[in-house]
Amino acid sequence: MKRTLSIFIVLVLLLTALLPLTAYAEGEGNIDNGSGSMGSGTSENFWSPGDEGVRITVVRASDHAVVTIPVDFTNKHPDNIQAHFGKVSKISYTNGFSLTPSMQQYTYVNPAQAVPRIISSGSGNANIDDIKRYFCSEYTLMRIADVTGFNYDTLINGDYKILLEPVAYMTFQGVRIAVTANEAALYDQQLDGGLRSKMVSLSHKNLPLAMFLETPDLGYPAWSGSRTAAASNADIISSLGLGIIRFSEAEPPQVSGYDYTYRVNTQVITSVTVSGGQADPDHPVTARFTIGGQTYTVNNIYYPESDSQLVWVRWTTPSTPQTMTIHVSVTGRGRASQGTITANIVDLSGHEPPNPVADDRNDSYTQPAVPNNPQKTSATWGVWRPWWHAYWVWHSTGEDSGYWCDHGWWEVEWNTCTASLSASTSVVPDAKNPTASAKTMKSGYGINQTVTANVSTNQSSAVTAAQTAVTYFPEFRYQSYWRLLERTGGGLGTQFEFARNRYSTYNRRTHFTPIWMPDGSYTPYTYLMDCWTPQGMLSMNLADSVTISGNLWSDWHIAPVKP
Amino acid sequence: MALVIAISSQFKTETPPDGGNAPASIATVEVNPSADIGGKAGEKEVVVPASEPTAAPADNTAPQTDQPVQNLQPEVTKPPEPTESQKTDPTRKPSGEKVDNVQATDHNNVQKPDATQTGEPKGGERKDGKVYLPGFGWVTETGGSGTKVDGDGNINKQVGTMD
Repeated sequence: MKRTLSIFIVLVLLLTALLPLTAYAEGEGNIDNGSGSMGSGTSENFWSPGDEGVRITVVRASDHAVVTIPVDFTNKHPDNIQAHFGKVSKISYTNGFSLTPSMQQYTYVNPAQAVPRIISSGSGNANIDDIKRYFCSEYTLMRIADVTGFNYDTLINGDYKILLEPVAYMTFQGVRIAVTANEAALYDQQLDGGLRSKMVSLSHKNLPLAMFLETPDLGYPAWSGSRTAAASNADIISSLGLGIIRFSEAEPPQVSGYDYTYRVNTQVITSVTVSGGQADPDHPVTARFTIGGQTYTVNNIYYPESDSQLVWVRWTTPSTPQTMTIHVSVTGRGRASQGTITANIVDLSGHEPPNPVADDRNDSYTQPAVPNNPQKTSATWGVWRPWWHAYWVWHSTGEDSGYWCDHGWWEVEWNTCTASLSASTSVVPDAKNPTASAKTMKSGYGINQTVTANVSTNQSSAVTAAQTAVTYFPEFRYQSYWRLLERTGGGLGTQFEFARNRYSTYNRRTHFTPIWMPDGSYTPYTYLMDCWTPQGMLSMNLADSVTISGNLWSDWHIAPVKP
Repeated sequence: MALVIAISSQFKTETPPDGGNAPASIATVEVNPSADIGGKAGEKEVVVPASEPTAAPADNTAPQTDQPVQNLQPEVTKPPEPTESQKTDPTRKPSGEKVDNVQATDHNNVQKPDATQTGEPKGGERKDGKVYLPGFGWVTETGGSGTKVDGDGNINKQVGTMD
């Protein structure tokens, strides 16, 4: 009997050790911050510890461009995934990519050397040092190079960085899905909080907090918020659920100390995130921005419990450069992410190139590389819109009498807003150039430039046109002197040209190429900017070329004096 | 500033080499009078007024730039109160929904119902190779497939950094 009992106990222990631990999730408390019980849940909404992976994307350091299709590393074999959102990186979502269910099979990679635990749970905590050691190792980086088809030596030469995002394989509402932290937040927005209400401890806590930055990089900030509490969708999208492997120094932090840099006389948008409680028409929240002695009141701010709303004010900067301090206060139950915002107002005018002289020389000129500044051509934000959910209940006042009474409540739904900047530029020889042919001209003559910009958006009241275009020139190595283009169109579709040149005989909108410019491509570079959205400024790099062949001297000819 | 000086120092005002070889005594210089080669300093700039907007806004809300009161979105209000006859008709809710057997509830014992039964398919329901994904509807049921990888490289050799 004693022997039978011993065998039974051993079998029970073996089964306990071998069977996977399944964590049912339903509402708050199903997963704590890695040290408590898993709570209870339903069979429609659950996650099992270890059902995880890491999305890996190679990014070019100079301009944050995604250069490989992301791949997902995991120890699991999630062949039962029913829905996922494709191999899309956080950077692509940041750039405006919308969350879309994929029609392709979910693909994953199992490295022979196992990936360390990524997402903490009641059955064990992830160790960030183990994660760093694994992903920074020669072995793992070689596997990343193998599966992405990226040359290993190029991958680690310092020109590229690797973006990591935790992935969870969970069952939500009976559907087996694969999501990154960023995708979970976007999906929750799509569901007006439906994911958070069922899977908060995973989707809004342990998954996004599995990885975050300690040093700002690739345009994402270091996370200084709570490391144990569930995060809002806005915080997850902006700051959580990412790690970055680098092979050179991190991008230098912005030391300007300014939250915004604006140009003078420009329509701009200044934003803060407001959260706290639920804001609805019965519990209104109002934000006040005090800017340069003027107070702007922003009304109709709504958001659900545990979430937030981006709140913005649209104003015109003063005509003189200065530093402005913007004070933000919020009434009602909400609070602003920032109480004070510092804006630097700068003036880009007054840097036009000097008067060109016919005997200018620059024998040591070498063609500089065309600049490639970080650009942001699209932005996504959203507005929580409330609607009244009526709930009519009959109250009796007698045997055959009574009345209907509305015991309804406010619901909020997420409306996604987007803005996308498109633009082109054309540089051509000036029409007064006597010997130009199409795009070929002799040095010393002028060029004309047109920039055409357009902004498409579904919330035009929250987006300005691109208002500033600055053109830099190779003869100044794209520095020192520039031309602030003149806006010749209005609305969200705008055009820019050179201002009239005071050195031009015919008062043309022109820029004179230096007479010493060697034959070859002559490429002015334009930075288009000041297209403001609640999610910051949209900007774009633009360049076009003319071909220099010969110089202005060759159009002068020598002839005998007529007798 | 150093860069400005450095670049400026590259510009020298020397005579082009060709110029020194010109037989000046027998030459006249003909220049196309319409060519624009610069050199007219000091003329007043002509200001061209911006034209009217060319693109219509994508929504109906006008920009509120510089207005002291700015609304994030249009005002939201509750639906209007039903009429007295609508409120006392036990056969039909004020919303118009027909009621066969009205059940009275005490005003103080009203409980918020569970998630509204909308008649939508249940999450995870399958039909024609698709699965019902809440928030997106019927989507392709993708399944998954993996690849095992292994190869060279030292797992203990640190190449990159993370912080």
